[in-house]
Amino acid sequence: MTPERPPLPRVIAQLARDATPVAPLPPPSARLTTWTLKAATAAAIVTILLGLRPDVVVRLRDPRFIAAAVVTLAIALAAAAAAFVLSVPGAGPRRVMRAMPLLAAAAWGMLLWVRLTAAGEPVTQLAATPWHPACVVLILSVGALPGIWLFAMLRRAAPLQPLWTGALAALASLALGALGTQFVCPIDAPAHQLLWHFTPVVLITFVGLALGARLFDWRRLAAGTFRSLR
Amino acid sequence: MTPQQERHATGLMQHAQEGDEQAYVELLVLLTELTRRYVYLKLGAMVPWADDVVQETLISVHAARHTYDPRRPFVPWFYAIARNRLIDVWRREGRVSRREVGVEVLPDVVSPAAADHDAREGVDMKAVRAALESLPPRQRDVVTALKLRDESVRDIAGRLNMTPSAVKVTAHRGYRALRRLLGVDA
Repeated sequence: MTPERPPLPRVIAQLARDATPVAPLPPPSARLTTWTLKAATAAAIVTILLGLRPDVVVRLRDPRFIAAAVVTLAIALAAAAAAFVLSVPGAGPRRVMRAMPLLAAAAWGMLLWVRLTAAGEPVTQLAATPWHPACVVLILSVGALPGIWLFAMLRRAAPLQPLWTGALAALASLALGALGTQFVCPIDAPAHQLLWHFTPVVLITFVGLALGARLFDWRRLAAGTFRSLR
Repeated sequence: MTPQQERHATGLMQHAQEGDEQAYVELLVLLTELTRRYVYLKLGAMVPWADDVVQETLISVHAARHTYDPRRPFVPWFYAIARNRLIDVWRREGRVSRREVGVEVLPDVVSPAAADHDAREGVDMKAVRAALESLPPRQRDVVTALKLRDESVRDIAGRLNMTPSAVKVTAHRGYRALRRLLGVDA
């Protein structure tokens, strides 16, 4: 049930009484830079602590490895940028910002699918891929700190689209987790990467929807602000 | 919003961010009018819950005022919030309307015919009248017309320039407020 609405002059008076000085939030680009620096450092440290794959120097000369790394990094940056823009009312072209990380994620999936089909019968390869849940744990371990920071930074803003913001924040941290995992996991087979790197990132992104609904519920935040003024 | 109004609002918002109470009051009054006009333009009619949108918009502006960047235009920032609040209240009102029970089947709160019975049941009519008096004017008019003067919803809607469903919603809110004021709400 909706509580009875107090008269507007009283609402205005109450809000004005709480007109304490506020420091304007830095623009989304500045917040993205801050997050990227902190998240990249944390992800790199965790990746190194988890143990780099022995052939990492050789892999860095492999164009397919570089392409996958660039695409996952692009997903992380595009998703974080979109989440920061969505967290400020009227800050930018919302549809374009939302589409960019989805296109980057689709490109990653396509890249793996093309490699998979080039290597032989896709279904046979996928069916023959052994279970490897350790990669999911790696993705979550590398992406955890960046994710916590990102959600905390977004919560300080005003995300008017909580579900989208939550999903994009989750996608950004998981893509960073997948990027780190690429440097730890020694299996380069496209079927493995599709099943145990790409698919978990896509599926766990949906958990971000629920987190967004819970953490960025703007109605609840605004209502809480008003109750605290009464 | 005219360019002049926008410059004015931007200046007021900057002062409000610095803690200037007077500027903030002026801004909120300006935004009240802008939100009402926005609701009217978007819906093509003045709905009885327009002030609900205004209130929610003002509260959201207050809670989000630190996210406004003074170097950016004020209008997109403000209307993004107003649009979001309008959609939110519109959905909520839609849910209320769907749950709406016809006034004719709602239990009477007060009616002259039942006054004696109410007295026997221990209802304090003075308290009911005092509670009625403390309702917002529109709710009081609607509840009084429906329950004390036995007017039809259609007649009340015509007289008060409201839609029949708006009359029902207002009555519903009035009953709820009465129950709370009389301490009989669950």
